[in-house]
Amino acid sequence: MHFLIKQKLALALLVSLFVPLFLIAQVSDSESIVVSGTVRDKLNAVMSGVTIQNLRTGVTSLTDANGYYEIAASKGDTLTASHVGYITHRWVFSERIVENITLEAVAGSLEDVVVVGYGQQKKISLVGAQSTVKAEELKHPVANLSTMLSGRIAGLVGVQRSGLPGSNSADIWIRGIQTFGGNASGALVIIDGIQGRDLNSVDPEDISSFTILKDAAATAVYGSLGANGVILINTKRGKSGKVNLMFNYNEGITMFTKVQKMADAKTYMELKNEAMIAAGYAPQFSQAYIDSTLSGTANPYVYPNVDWLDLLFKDVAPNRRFNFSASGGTENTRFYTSLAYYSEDALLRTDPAVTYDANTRFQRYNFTSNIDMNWTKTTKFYLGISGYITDYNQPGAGATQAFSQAMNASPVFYPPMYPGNLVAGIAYGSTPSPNPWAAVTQTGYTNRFTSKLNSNASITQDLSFWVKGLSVNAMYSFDLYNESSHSRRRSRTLYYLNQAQPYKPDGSLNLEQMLTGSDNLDFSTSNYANRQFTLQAQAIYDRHFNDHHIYSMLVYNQLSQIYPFTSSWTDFIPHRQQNYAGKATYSFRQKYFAEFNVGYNGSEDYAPSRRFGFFPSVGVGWVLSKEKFFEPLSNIFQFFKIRYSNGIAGAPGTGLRFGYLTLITTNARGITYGKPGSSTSVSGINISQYGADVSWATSHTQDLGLEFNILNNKLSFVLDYFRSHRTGVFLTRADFPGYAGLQYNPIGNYGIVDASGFDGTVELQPIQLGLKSTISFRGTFSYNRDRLVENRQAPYADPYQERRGQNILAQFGYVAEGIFQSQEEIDNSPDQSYLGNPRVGDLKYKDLNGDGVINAYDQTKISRGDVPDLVYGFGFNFTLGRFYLSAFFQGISGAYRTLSGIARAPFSGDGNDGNVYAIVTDRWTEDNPKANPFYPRLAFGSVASANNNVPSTWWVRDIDFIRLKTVDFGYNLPNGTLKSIGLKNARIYFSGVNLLYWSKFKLWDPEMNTGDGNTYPNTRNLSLGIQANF
Amino acid sequence: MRNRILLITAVLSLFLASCSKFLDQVPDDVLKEEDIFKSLVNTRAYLAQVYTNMPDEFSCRFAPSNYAGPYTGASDEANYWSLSWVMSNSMNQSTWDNTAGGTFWINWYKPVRTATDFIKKIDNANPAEVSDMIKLHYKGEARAMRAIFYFWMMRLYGPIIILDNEVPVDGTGDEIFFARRPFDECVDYVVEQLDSAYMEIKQSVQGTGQRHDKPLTYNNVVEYGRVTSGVCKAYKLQVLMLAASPLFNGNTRLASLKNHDGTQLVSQTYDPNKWVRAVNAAREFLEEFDGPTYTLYRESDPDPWVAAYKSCKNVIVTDWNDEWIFGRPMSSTGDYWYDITPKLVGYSSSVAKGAGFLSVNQSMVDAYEMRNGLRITNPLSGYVSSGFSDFKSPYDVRERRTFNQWVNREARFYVGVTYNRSYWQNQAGDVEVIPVFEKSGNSGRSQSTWDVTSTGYIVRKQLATTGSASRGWVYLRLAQIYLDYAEALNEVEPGHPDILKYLNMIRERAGLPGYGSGPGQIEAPTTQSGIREIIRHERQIELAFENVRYFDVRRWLIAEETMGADVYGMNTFADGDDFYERVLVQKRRFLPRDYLWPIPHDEILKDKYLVQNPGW
Repeated sequence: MHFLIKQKLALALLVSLFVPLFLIAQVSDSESIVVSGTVRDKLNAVMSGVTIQNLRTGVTSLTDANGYYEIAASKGDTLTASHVGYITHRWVFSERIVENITLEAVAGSLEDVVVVGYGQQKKISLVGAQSTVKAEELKHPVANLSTMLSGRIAGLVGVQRSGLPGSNSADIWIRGIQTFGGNASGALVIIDGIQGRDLNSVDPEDISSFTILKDAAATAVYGSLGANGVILINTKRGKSGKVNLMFNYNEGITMFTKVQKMADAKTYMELKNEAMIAAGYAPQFSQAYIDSTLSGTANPYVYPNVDWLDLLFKDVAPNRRFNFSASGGTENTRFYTSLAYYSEDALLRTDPAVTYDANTRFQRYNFTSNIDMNWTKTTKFYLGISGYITDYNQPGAGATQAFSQAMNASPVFYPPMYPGNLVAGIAYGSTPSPNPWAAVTQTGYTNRFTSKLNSNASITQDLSFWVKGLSVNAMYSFDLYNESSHSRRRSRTLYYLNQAQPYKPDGSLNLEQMLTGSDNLDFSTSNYANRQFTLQAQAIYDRHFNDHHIYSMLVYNQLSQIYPFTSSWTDFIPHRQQNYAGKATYSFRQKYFAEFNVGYNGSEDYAPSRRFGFFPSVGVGWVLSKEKFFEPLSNIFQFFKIRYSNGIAGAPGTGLRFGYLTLITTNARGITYGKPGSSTSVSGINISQYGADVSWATSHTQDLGLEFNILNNKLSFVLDYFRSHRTGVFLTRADFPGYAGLQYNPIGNYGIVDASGFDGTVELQPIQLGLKSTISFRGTFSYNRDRLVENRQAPYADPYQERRGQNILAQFGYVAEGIFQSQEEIDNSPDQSYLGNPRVGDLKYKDLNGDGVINAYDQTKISRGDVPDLVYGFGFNFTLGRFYLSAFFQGISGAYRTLSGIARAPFSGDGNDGNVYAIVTDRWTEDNPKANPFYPRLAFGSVASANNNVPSTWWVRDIDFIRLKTVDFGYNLPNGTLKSIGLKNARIYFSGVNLLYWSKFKLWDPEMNTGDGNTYPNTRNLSLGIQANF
Repeated sequence: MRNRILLITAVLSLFLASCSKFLDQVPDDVLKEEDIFKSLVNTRAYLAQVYTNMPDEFSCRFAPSNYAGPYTGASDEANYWSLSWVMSNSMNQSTWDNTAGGTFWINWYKPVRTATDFIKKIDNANPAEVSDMIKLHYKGEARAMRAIFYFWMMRLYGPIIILDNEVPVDGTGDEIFFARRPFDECVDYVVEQLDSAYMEIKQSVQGTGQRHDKPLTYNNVVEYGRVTSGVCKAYKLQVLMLAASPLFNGNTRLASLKNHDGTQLVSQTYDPNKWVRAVNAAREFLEEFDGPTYTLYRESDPDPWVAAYKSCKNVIVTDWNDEWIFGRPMSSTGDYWYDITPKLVGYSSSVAKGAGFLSVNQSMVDAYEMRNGLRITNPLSGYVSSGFSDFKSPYDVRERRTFNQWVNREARFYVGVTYNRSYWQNQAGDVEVIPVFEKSGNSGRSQSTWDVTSTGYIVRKQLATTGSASRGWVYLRLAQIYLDYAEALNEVEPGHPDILKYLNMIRERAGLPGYGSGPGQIEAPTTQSGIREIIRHERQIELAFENVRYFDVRRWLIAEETMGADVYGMNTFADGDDFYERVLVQKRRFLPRDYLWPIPHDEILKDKYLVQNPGW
């Protein structure tokens, strides 16, 4: 008996996990009864031909056309329901004689249900281009989900631009950038059916599905919002069964992937002297001064020598993540709830002497609660509530600025502090000179606290009793966001050593007060908030007639966003949308598919006459592998499908509020008449916007897709080719003459962009390698080209200068032909003096128009810009017994960076406060006139540097890279371990993010969006963790 | 079935109909274009949009921001060479490009457009708020300002586009694209507009008790900065001086400046009558306003040299004294004040410190005459080029050791130039403040790489005792009208007694002997060109650092010599007496193209009728 109870317990446990481990051979000699029920799939469609088996007797039966089955069983018998492509459902017959079953498709299989706009659909029936990523792949200890996406999803381009906690999200685009100017190029993000929620604030553990919609067939239902693609995320929902508690905790460290290497004091002083001499100045540092600075024994306040980056940054900083969830429920009430915590510190040091907390730290707490209820047999209710709070703290001057100053501060200008806790620095007018250490430790702090509450309530009524196949659904949601910052900042008094007389007669330092400040922390606050209300009503008609399946859907959705902390009524007026969408699909024997989608939506930002737009699309699909004629090929291709879509989607808004209105600014810059003591100030009136009949852009997209499986369905391919033609891109007319005297040039929907590309996914299902080992593989790529067709700029005189016909982010500049090696060469070359007086050792440019002069007319396209045209990723999962190892590599190609600022022109900043890259030693000199050094001849000051400090091919760098993005290594504890405390299973793991990269570009992490390296670097993350289910 | 579908449709439509007003939201808190003239406040604000585009020359370091001109640094008077990003540096080496002229070309057409709209609509302003006097006066002001903006553009670009109407916002093709007008047509247009504005302003105040030659008083505040009848006539003279000058009067170097249809934009034959028009305009102005409205500013002192110093100094910093004709009122002076105040490291915090990078060129220092009215090149002048003397300058409290080159110069030298180890004007604290520009000095190179004078001299002219408080910048004062008149008259009627009369009034106020044959006078040259030279020289000194010289050397077609010459100064890289060695500071280059600014290249590309200036 004891044994039996134990077995039952184990059984219940297994059923809830859907993982069969062993069979029950016990026979009880009860009376045989007929068990019956209906089998449905996840979309609630009845399933015919499902095999129902009584494992004890071995008797089987099949469901009929209505999904109905009957089978004889005795109490305690184990029964199964199985069908190709579905996870076999197992249950023990005890009391219920009517057992209705919902079969779940094998994840990723053709029968699997995937999320589409305003609904779900079987994967095999898709005619639009969309991709998904497994939620498991996103679960890494990083703050922002967006950084995990690039390379994992075909069609998504992503780049992470900074590693600073709190601002280390990635820029992502679907199928590249297909617009320009001020138009938003990012995808529409919809989380749990609601717009306006933040992708980066979702805890990855809470995600059940992540889908991107790429073509018009998939996005047309989103009308004027969908042309840049759509990201759909759904959070987890509960399943009936025993409560499952999940606990995941990890502790990690972060470190920079690459720190910019700046010149040391010796290099700096010697080369600055060299640059000054080359520019006709006297050298700044005498040999005696250099020797004293480097001696290590001289007074460091008089001869400062500081490695600012080393001084400011630690090697490692902590990072922590914790997640707890509980899910389960009964047949009528199911829940998923979770709590999560994330924290990450920046690598900035703090000053232990100050009394306030200036540590740079990001912390987030998430919670999620999704509850599903069946109120009646035909009425379902869902309530989802989730939210987060974040807490971000940083030094008063800001961590970004601190890094920037550390990179830019001269190693020998002044020490971090003078004795007596005095801040070193000088004044530029009333602006203090950069002192990175003071910026981090002496400027007080700023704290930003945000909170977000998301809610959805929806009710679904099945009306099949009235019209078979009809159901209706209504949803209401409100989201509240609040942000409040408070700062306690100070700007301390600056001191600087009198350089001519460093010591006072008494031998103490002769410090001069440069700028008067205060040691007191001031106080200021700021607030920001928004709230959003969504109302949605939907009717669905879904019915199978023999081999025909018809699905149609109509939805109405309205959205209202309010930004309460605005200063004018115009800004306060709620931002609203009204969206109508419809969908009709038809399929025949899961072989032929046709779909028609339409979106019709509007916004108050557009002129009343053009408020609404109509966006239709069609798509067709054909599963060739189900055709008779395909049979000979079925040995090779177990599945083969082609699909094609054609449609129109809209590109979101103009970015303008009420672009159709002429707006007037009444507090523009004015004038004060009179004289001191008797004056009147009059503010100016300007027209700030000339109303125009502006509206959305429309993108006409075609997509041809091919899906096939080979190697007995083990290896699957999905390939898509697309082309799109976007018209009506909103822009400011640059071809309008300046002498018209408009305050701002007129606006309109004038731009045209063409884009095309391929993307694809290849996936290898786990294959056995010996008895205990499996391996699986997945790879994706996205290749996009875009072409600017019309930008309403004045046409250039020479075709090589023209922006039209180039890609959107194309950069223009001079073509460098090398370095002038002699005065004779300068004299015999086209006149370059309009850029700056050319010297031997300067860059030599090509005279493109052959007029003997190098000037603005000799600029042409030199780079296609920093957003890659090819993004790829590949990874494998390897298991060996209880161990697993997975690694994911991600790469980009076709991205270029044009160096700027100090990376391009060392010592050009005129002041005495800038540093230069350590690579500055690789430069042209008279003694070593290299043909191809990193830098041409050095020069001090912007005028002397002018010749070299222009964008040219010399400074264009290939920033392609391959990155070992993530590595996961873990061990699953044997089942039964710690069973006494209720543990079902557990694993311990190591996780690494951004571990290594390979790139030709050496100055900084190539993914960062900076031309001069002046950005807080990306970070690497190493964590150890444990996950357990109870 | 069909009934059910109909029912569903009906229910859905009802639901949707209820949402139809959801998007009907229109902002009702924004001022509409047609409502501007309903109130006096907005009418004044709309006109302020025109005035606000006047150049703020105190920002000249940041030119062309705030519409400030780079003219002082880009002339042969001074430079910002220590601060190499300043626009004038690239102009001085002619490395500026054809996009550089954008700010003025684009931004000065904005007040032109606003003024046109203002003129068109002001008559219909709400009479309950805007009186007839204000309507007509403001209309005249808008008209005059529009003409003045056109004139300012003509100084830079030469022939420009004159717009009769506002360019339509939704226009295309020939509705929005125009060609440049021949320079003489531009001149006639501006003159005609200034005459009309003069009449409007004069008529508007009749019977109101307000004066047409003084700025309109509003709420008991004399609104200095507003256009008056005198401003109209003074700028009419300025336009005609420009038109008569060699740059635009038969300048064959601009022969290639033609519209695409062949229209010659600058006349290719010299027309002496243009000088006659200028003389007439000058006389018109002087007869009506010299005396009743404007007088040369004077201060008194027992020592005539000190009196001259005070007069020449305070005419600039005494806001809206009777010599001022037009200027930008109540401008923030902080940037300029910082430009001309030395770094003064080491003095107590009560001493206001600056950067001192607006540096006077040695050629300008040398241009000032001696206290006796003779040039330093004259062997009789008493000029000593080396050594030191104990010398008390007109503003000093005692004698101090001074480099002989700076001893006993005319009063305006001390107005214009801060030199090494001179007594600082704005003393504070217990220690005497003396700027030292030698390398290790308190304002020398070892203190800063860029907050330093490049030549060892700093411009002093605008140095006020009010620190960086707001005040006006004078664009045009009576002294310039005198010099204009003398210059024009010398071209029309050489030998006319008015020439030396007006020239001598300027010299006399500066404490210098006049030209002539009388006792104590300096003998005047006998030729027309000789007289021309002394007038030009007087202008260089009297109007130094007032943004006149930049245009004068172009007007006279002498910029190759003056602007092409390299800049010299004291040796700021040396300490002690080595400092007082003349060294090369900046190599300069002036190309023929630099006489006129480039029209922004992008604008040329847009407009198929628009031609670029030669060499750009």
